[in-house]
Amino acid sequence: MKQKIKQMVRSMVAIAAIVAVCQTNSKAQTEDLPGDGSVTPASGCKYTGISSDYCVYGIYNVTNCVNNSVTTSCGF
Amino acid sequence: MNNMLGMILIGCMCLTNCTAKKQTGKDTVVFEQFPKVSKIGFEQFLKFDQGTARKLYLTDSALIVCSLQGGVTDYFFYRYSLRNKTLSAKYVKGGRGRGQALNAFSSGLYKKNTVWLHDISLNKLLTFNLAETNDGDSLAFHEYAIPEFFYSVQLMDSLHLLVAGAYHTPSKINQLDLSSGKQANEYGSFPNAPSGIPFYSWKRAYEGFLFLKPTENKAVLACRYADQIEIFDLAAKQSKIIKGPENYEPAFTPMKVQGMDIIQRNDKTRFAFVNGMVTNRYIYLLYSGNPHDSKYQIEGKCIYVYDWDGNPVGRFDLDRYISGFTVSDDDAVMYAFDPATGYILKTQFNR
Repeated sequence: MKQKIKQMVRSMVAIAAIVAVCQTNSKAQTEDLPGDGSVTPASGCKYTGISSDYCVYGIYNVTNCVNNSVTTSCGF
Repeated sequence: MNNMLGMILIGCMCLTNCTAKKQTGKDTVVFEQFPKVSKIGFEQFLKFDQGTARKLYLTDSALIVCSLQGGVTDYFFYRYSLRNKTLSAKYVKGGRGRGQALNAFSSGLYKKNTVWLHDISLNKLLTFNLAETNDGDSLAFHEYAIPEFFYSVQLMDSLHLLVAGAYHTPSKINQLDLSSGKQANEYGSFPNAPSGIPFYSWKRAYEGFLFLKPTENKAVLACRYADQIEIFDLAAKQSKIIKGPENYEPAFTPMKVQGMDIIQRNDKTRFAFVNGMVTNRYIYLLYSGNPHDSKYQIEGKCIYVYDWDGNPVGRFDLDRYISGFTVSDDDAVMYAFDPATGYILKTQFNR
């Protein structure tokens, strides 16, 4: 039983790590937009992950995203 | 294998006449095939574990690698010794402060000693001199405010930028005075957009990557969504468009966002040129040709080579997908980055 619980915990930790990596990878660089330092979704931008893409977001240009006709948030 | 490129480079001029080429106008050439196609294989040179290398630059003794993830992980630029392959310096930390950047949308190495970076989020151009010190943290940085958005830029000298993809000007490329922020010379103009397509959506569909010939008298604009390049003679203010070998137009859907006419990629959109570099003899462009939503979005598996007169010289079919590359000044050695393995690769062209 103890062994099973240990295995389950290990699996959960592994899954959490994978999710964290996926989330990190899907983040656009909007996270570092100039401003108050808070993390703000760039609504109207669609994440592409293509470094030569950009999205106009307010007065900022956001990389790795494109403007989208459907309202979405870029990355986070 | 390595002999192939040498043969192409040496024999390019005579082979150019063999290209299946159609002259469609004084300033536009359409071709249907390259005079030579060569298979290129690489050997592993060094492991790069700082993200995806987007750009590589060569000095006499070093390889400078620009990482895509510089703003998120550690630094944007990494300097490796060509001789012993060791990391000798890192430059430009991610951040909003002086000497820092959020992205390197365009970057370059000017005259082998000045690294520059265009950050489109912070609207600035950042430069530093490689010769000053090996310590990236104590470098003297120069920063210039960039007043407007430009898609692709090239540093011309310490005073000017060549810029492409501006939303506010109908010309194809412009010259920007860094000290005043004013635009001077304009090069190239777009024909009228087809009926029903707003001009700036049309212009955006033809956006591309700009490269400046080291002698600074010519530049080339390589389209993102069409297998088309345009070579500009900056002194004569003339240009020549080269289309082919497939000769396809950008596929897009116009859209309006925040009052701006832009484009949306659709199910027919293909990526054409995704990266490139130039020497005084040749233009090397990494070509994709893949649908915009394919697995390989920033990578390409072949390189189109042109000379500065606009002649297609050859096509290199690579043995794997690469995301960035550089070629030595004498067109003898190529370094490239393989994102699948994280290795910088090398191939030597024997003549």
